[in-house]
Amino acid sequence: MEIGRRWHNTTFRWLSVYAVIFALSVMVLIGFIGWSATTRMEFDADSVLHWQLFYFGSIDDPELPETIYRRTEGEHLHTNYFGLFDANGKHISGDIVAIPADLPLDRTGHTLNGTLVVAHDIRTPVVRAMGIRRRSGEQIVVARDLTHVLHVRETMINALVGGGLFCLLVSIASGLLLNLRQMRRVRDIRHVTLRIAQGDLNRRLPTGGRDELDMLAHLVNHMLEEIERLMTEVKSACDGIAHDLRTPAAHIRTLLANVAERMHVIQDDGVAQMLDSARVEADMLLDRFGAMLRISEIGALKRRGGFSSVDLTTLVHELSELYEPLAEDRGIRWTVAVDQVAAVHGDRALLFEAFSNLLDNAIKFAPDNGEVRIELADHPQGAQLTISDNGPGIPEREREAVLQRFYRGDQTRHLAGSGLGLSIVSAVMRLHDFALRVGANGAGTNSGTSMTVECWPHALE
Amino acid sequence: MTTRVLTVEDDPLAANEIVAELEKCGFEVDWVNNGPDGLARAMSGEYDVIMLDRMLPGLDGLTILTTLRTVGVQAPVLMLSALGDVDERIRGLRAGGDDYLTKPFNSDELTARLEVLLRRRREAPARNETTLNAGPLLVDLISRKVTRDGVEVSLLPTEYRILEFMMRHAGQTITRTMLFEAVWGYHFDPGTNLIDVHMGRLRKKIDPPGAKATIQTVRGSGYILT
Repeated sequence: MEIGRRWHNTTFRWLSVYAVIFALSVMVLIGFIGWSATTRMEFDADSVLHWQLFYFGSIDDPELPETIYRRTEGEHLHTNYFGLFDANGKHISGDIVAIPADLPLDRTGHTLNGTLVVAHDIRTPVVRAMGIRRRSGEQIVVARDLTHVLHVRETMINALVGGGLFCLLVSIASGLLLNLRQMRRVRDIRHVTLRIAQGDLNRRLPTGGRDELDMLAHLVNHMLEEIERLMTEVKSACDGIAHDLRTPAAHIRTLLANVAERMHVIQDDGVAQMLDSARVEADMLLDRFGAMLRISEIGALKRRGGFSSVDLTTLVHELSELYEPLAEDRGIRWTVAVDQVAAVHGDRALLFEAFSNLLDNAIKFAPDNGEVRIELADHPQGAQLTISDNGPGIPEREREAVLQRFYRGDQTRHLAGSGLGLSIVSAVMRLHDFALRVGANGAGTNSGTSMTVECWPHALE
Repeated sequence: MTTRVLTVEDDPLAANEIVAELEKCGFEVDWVNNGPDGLARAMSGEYDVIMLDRMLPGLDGLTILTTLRTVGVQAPVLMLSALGDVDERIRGLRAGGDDYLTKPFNSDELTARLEVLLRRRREAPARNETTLNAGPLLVDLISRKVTRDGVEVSLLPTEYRILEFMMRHAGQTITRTMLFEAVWGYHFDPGTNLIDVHMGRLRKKIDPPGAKATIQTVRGSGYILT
């Protein structure tokens, strides 16, 4: 449904925006940490190199080769390299074989990436190097290995990237999970709302949690309570009216019957005719009140008190036997197709009453020599009873309305009836949690009506 | 000897109507408008039939009925109630009621039901009857064979059940509702037309053309088999 998809969209958009922002900040953070770590480590290396050059600077020229040689010999871990060259760049002492071409001898640190060649012709990895030219023209180059430092930096950055990715994934996953929970709540709310829209006003939206959704649910529930209270008031007022008017109407009928018995005194055909019409009208009035009260009675039944296992197959045969003569009387073709179906849980008498209302309608609306068809099919979800006729049919826009009290289709106003038959059926279906679907019997505009009763619980739908 | 009827009913309008209707039919009617008095009168045992409202001030109809049956008053009781649902009906009949009528009712319906109750009481309970006889009609209850003037008439199961019910109550007015309740066992109003069609089918079979009709329609109320 529309509502569901929009929800999905909003949450998803928020989530994506959040993920992008998070990723960007993590990248900036890592970059800054990497940069500051490198700078700091270069600074440290530079100060070490500086102090070494300072030390060499304090040594006299003749002793310098020897000093450098000793320092080189003392270096077992190969973290520091030294080289002494004469004014022309020729190697005098130390393990640095040549002055790197890209190293200016300006007493500042430079990072050399693999260009420093040391003794035994080994090319060092990344080093920090610094060189000076002494007053005598000799040149000194000292270098410090940065490999393990770089290693540390790499490890740190890896850890940061990994951690960032992990955090991102976890946050996206938990966001999705929370979203899922929220979506489930929205779906629950949607189901309940649909049921309420179908007239099941007893239902309430699920509540729980203390968020905006919950607040809305509480508000809607409060509203529903108020609506239900008003509906019940209106309904009980209607029932009260029906109940109170029924007794005087019954008195009128009795009085009219008494008058009819005395008609021979008057001997007037006109009056007799009017009296007959009045009796018919009085009967109709009582029928309607009766039907209204019957609907309330069914609605107020203690839920499922009289329920037991009902064999629909025999029920349909019984119904068919009861109504077939009525159809035959008007030349209506009567077709019964009954599958063996599993028994349903229901109130046999009420189901019989409801189905007989449907059959009565079908026969009423079928034309003379028309057709009425009863079909009991074994649907995967349960038994399905379809009663169809080839009468005028119900226009699509009226199909919902026919289930309401007193509704009479435009084309059927001339036919007798209280307009309450289908309301009784609806009430019985609601009690059973079955569904009544109003449809057309085949394609085309005047193809008749098809009433389908789905005899399985619909609350979970 | 006149038939004495006790009506326990708290609505004076309805009670007046009942009394007027029953007196017109030749019954002697006593009206009581509350439960305790109703119980006291009913206990006297001088009534042939008792009409009991379900809801009464003081003592409700079901309690009165249960008490009556406990002390051994066997007069038939017709329960009247504004509550029409099946549970209420079953409760009324279980407590010992003989019939149940939902208010407001047709006066013809009331008298027809009372007559049936009275007849049932007047006649000894059915001995092991094997045949029913009314005018030219004979029904064999064992073989389910129906004959008119010795000629066998073949009936469908429903038609047979209608005829059997009419034969058992020969000479009494049977309303459509009573027939529907007895033959089909349901308690709603299926519409006049439906029962008429079934009756029409039965009549066509048991009354050959030209012969005297055995089942007559009573205008506005039902049928009678003579």
